[in-house]
Amino acid sequence: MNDSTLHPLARDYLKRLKKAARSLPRARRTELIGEIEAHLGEALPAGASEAEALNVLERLGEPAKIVAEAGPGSATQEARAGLLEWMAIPLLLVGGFIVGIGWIVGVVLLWTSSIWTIRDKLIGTLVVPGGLATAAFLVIGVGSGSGEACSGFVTTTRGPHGVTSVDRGNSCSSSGGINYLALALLIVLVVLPILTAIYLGRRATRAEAAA
Amino acid sequence: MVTSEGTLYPLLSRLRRAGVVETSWRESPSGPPRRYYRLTASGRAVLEAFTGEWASFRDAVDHFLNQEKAA
Repeated sequence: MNDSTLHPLARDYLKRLKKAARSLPRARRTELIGEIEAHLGEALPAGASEAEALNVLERLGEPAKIVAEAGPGSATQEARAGLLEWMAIPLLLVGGFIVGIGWIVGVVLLWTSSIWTIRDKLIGTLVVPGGLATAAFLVIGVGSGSGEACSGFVTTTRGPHGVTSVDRGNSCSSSGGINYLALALLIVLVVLPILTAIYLGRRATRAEAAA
Repeated sequence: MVTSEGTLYPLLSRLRRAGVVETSWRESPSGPPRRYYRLTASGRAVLEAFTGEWASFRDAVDHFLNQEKAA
């Protein structure tokens, strides 16, 4: 339905409903908003007076109340964590090690599931892209990179009289500071995907318990 | 219980997911298509069971209310 055929107060009401419905799984949110929109289209002509509009909206009830009725608390079979969910979580975490494709499959499963909300799905995708594999690749990358830098600065030269002089570049010690930063980043990249996996698991079991 | 018209839709949606009603879209003479609800076979069975339960529940309540009146 076209928004412009709705009463201005109905449009305002729908906006509040959409905001309140963010916590719902996508399929149920789309359905609920569609139903209420159709209801408003029938019950509230665009030219209705403000008093008429307020009466219709009051009978309809507060958006939060309607959303609560449609929420996981009153869910049935649909919102039960199945194989799909329990495949998605490990794939997001360690799937990146399977030539990177495992993680992508995890993301597809994540977005296919009706158990998680949009917010859950965004967290699952963005924290951290690639999962633990990202941290692993960073270790390989930074490890080999700093190794080269160091060897470049430490040079051993044998003089003409058999005197060995060791020339140590100052930059090598200063790279210790950078390593701390890299270490902190590494810890974050390891901890965050694990926290995300725990979070997704909890959200899935919560929906399961409520079913 | 339905406390506002808006909560009717989640309720209908739940009945549909439970398989006791089925829906179909039909063109409306005015405005967008409408969703029509009808009972399924299992819905009719549930309704029959509830009707039986309701009668005995109603009789029990009537029994106590009438006692109160008689007292």
